[in-house]
Amino acid sequence: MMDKKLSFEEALQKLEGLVKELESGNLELEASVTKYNEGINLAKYCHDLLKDAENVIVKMVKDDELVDFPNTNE
Amino acid sequence: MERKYITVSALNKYLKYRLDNDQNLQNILLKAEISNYKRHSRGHIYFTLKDEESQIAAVMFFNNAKTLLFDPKEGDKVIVEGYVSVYEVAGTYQVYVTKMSQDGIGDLYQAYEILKQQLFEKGLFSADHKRKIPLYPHTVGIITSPTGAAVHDVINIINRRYPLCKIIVYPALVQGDGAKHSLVKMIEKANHDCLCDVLIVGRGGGSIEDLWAFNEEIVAYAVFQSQIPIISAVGHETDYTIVDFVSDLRAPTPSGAAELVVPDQIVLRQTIAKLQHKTQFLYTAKVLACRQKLKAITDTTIFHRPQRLLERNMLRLISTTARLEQTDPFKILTKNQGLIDSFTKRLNVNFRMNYDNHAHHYQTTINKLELLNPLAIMKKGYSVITKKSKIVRSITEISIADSLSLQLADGSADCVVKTIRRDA
Repeated sequence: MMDKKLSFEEALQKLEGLVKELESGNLELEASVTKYNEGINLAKYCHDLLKDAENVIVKMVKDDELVDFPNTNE
Repeated sequence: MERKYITVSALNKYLKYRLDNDQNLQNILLKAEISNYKRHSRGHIYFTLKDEESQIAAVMFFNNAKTLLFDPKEGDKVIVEGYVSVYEVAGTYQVYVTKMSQDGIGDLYQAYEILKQQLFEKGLFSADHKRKIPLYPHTVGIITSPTGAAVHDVINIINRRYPLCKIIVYPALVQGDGAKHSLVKMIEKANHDCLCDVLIVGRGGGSIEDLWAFNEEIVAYAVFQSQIPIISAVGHETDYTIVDFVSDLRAPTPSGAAELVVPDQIVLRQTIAKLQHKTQFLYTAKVLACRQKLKAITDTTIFHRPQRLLERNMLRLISTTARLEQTDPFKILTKNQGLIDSFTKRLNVNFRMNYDNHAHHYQTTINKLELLNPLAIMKKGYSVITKKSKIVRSITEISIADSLSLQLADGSADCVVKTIRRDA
C-alpha cells in the first residue's frame, strides 16, 4: 500500500499535507477514513525510517573512486 | 673644589626617573625579532628583542602575557607595544611589553579587507545568489582535511542527529601552499560528481595564516560558482573568512555546520508523534461529528411515526386537488360563456332604452318647432310688414308716404302709408 521508495522528507510532507486536509474539515467521512489510515501509516513509516537507520554511511573520494572512510565512529 | 659623590642606587633611581618622565619612551611601538625566549613559572615571559644590529632586553608580565593571541617563539617577528624603564636592582634598562602581535599579520588583514571589498562590489556576497540549504539532505559532502578532528566531529554529529543521510568526504589540503588549489579542485569535483545535495567546506581552528586558504580569491569564486549549496565552517566562532561571506550559509564552526546541515531526529520524532496524534484526534472528531449528525436525524418524529408524513401529505394532496379543480379549462370556459351572455343581454336592453328616449325627445322637439313656424302663424291671418327689408314692430317706425312691404302666407304686396293713428 505504501510506496516503499518514499524518502523521509516526502513522507513527512505528505503527512503534514494530510493533517492539513483533515484540519480543513471539508472531507467526507469516507475520505477521512482513507486519510486517517494513510496518515497513521505514514507516521509509522517515518518513525521506522529513523528507528531502523543504522550509522550514516561515510565514503571518501580517493583517486576518483568512493572508498570507505576510516574511523567513522571515534 | 671637592666634588660631591652619589650612590649607585641614587644613580639608578635618577636614571629611572629620567626615563620614566620621557614621553617618547613611555609609549613605544617596536618592530623586532624574538630571541632568548624564557617563560617564568609565574607566567611572566623574558626575552630579547633584536634586529640585525642591536638588541634590548624585554619582559612581559603575566597579566599582559595571558592576553597573547599566539605562542611566541624564538625567531618570531613581532610588533610590541610598551615602555622603557630601568630595573634598579640590576641596573639594566629594558622594554616592558604590554601588547605583542605577530608581524606580517597587518599585511594579511589589509589584503583581506581589499579582497572583501572587491568581491562585495562584484556582488559575490549578495543574498540573491544564496542557494537554499535543503532541509532533509540525502547526501552531505564534506570538503576538508580527512585527518583533522573537524571531519570526525562533523560525521559524529550528523550520525547522531540524522542517520538517514549519507556522507561523502572530499579530502582537501586546508592549509599551506597547495590548500587553495586543493579546495577549488574538490569543490569543482563535488559539483562534477553531483552526488551531494549540500556541501560543508571548512576546517578547524588555527592562526590567521592557517585559515588563509579560505580568504583566497579563487576559493571564493569556486564557492560562488558551485551549483550545490555550500555551508562554510572555518575555524572558530570569531573567525570570519571571505568564504564565509560568499557561502550560502555560514556556520560558526565545523560542529556548528553539522548541526545546521541536518535536522535533529529527536525533534523529528516529536514532530511525527504530534502529527500522528493530530491525525488520530481529527479523525475521531470527524467520526463523532458524523455520528451526532446521524443521531439528530434518526431522532426526528418522522423516523418514529412515519404515518405522520402520510397524514401531512394527504392534507396537501386534498388542498392541491381543490386548487387544481379550479383551474379546469371547461369550467372556466362555461363560466366565461355565462358572463358573455349576460353582458350581451344587458347591452341590448340598454340600447333599446336609449333609442326610445331619443325618438321621443325628437318628436317633442319637432312639435315645439311647428308651433314657432311663422308661416303657420300667418296662415291664421297674421302678416309681416317690412320697411326697407326691416321688420316693422312699432307705429313710431312709420311715416306718411313710406313704402312698406306686406308679407302674407301666400304672397306679398307693396303699400304706401296714407294716415297714421297712434294708440293712446
